[in-house]
Amino acid sequence: MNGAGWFFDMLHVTLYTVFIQNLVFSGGYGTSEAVRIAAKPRRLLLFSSYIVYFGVITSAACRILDFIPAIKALGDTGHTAVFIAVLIVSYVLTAVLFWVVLGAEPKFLSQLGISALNTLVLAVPFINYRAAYSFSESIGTGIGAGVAFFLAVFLISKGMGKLCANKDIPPAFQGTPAIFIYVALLSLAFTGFSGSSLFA
Amino acid sequence: MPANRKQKAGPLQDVFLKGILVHNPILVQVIGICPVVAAAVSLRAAALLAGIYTLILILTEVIASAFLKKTIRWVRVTLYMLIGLVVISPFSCYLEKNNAGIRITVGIYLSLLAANSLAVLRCEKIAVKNTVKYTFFDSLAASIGYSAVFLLVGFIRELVGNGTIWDKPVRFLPRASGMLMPFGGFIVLGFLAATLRAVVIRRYPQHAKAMMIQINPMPVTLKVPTDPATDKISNDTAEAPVINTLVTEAGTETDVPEALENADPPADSEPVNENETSEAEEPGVQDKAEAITHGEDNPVPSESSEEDSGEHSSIAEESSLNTEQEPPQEASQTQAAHTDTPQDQPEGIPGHSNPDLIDQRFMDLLHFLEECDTPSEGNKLTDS
Repeated sequence: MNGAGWFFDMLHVTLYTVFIQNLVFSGGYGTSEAVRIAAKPRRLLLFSSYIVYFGVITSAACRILDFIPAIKALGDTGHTAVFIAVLIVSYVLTAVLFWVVLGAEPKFLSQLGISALNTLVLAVPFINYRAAYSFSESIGTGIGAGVAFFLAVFLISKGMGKLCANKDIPPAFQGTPAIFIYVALLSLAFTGFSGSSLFA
Repeated sequence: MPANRKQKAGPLQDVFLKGILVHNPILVQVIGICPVVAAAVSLRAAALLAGIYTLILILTEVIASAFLKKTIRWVRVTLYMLIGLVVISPFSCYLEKNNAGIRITVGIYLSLLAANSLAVLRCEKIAVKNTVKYTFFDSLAASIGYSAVFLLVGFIRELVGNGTIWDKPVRFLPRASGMLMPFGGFIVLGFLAATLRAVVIRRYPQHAKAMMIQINPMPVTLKVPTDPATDKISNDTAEAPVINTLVTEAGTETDVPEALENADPPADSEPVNENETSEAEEPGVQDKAEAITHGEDNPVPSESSEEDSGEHSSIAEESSLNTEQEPPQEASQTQAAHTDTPQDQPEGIPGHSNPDLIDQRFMDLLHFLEECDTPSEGNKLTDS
């Protein structure tokens, strides 16, 4: 397969993961982190970059490991163990690299942990496995996870500000309930991209 | 609330009340939402996931409290995930062999329970800072609260989305298959959260204030801050909020100006020394919310910083999605300490004794009006 083919395979999966089946709104992955970061979006770009990094690393490593027949023959439980182990190893190696080589503070390493060890990043190899993505497509999923997260947090953050400033919301709905309903509407919008219908 | 207060083991009833209602992990603290919105599409699936996660949460917290208090935090979080994997694996194996249907229904969300942020947050905030006994009861309360919401969401979505209850058809409602999508999960959570708030406000008004959240969203921008003072301050402390909204119990903001006026005057009259500000603000930040103050007694200094437990508790405290809020006066003091950048400080604006109250957009408008008043070439407003 030539380079252009690889690139467009990766690109189409990235776009699919971001817009058609946004991992946050359509899959619910990483929603807790998205809502919490939306209230403090200053580090959004950095956090999303970490997610892209760990998503790509995990996707690549898991895809390579799947070429080993013994691992490929494992069931869902075995693959779960492999994916979690890969994620933990990639996080620890990255953290050690930052700590030893770059002298990172424990505060930074904690942030790195949160961006690595969450449902969104862990979902990436599972999605690749279930969809039987090729290597380049798997990389696209990793990239798409971070971009989808960025888009989700950006949208949630914008609405959250308006919800806070709106004094007409009844007391029972102020705060978290209003945020949930707002996120529901965003999720509904992205669901529309996939062509689903609300009523059977 | 004292800055160095360690969370004490209150009466058992209080622990359960707070864990289930006032500090409900999903409806109030917004943690662990992923499996609820995506996988709780039937009561059976919800019961399975809730039961397994209860086990994971209690085991993880107890183990963290008993053995992991002295482990480095960034290593500790990986151990939580491993504990989750150890708990999930036997269930996953059993379901693969004996009940493949439900295994397919829950999909990858059973495996994703290992990465659920609820366990990490509670371990870092509570387990490693309290005794095993208190941790056990606290984790039990949190898991009851979590499971209750899980089951409710599963029940409602299955009933409305599928027209069944525990796979038995119930034909008195029209089916809305949209409820089986994450959108349906979020909607149900929204209304459940509103119901919970209404109940607590009415039945337990003394705890209602603890449920109030304070969201201070910063504008999302890709612009790199050019002022080093701005960047330094914002990195080291909670950001000066652009939109200040303290929702009081009555849903008004009447307490806010008074609290802020009583607070220490912000450094609006002289340039902010970024080093002094960052050092002075750390205690303020720690005062801001209880979860941040959990770190004060921790012998590892870094764990008492604003970024305690990574982004989880820090986001919780700075976004105030965590319900253990300081009273508005302390919040106002913290806010007063978190000043805008020097160039954003309004000077001599009449009627505004506390510039922190001023919306940034209002400031932009003022500057715009000032520019309009200044005669200049090409100023459309002054052209006649």
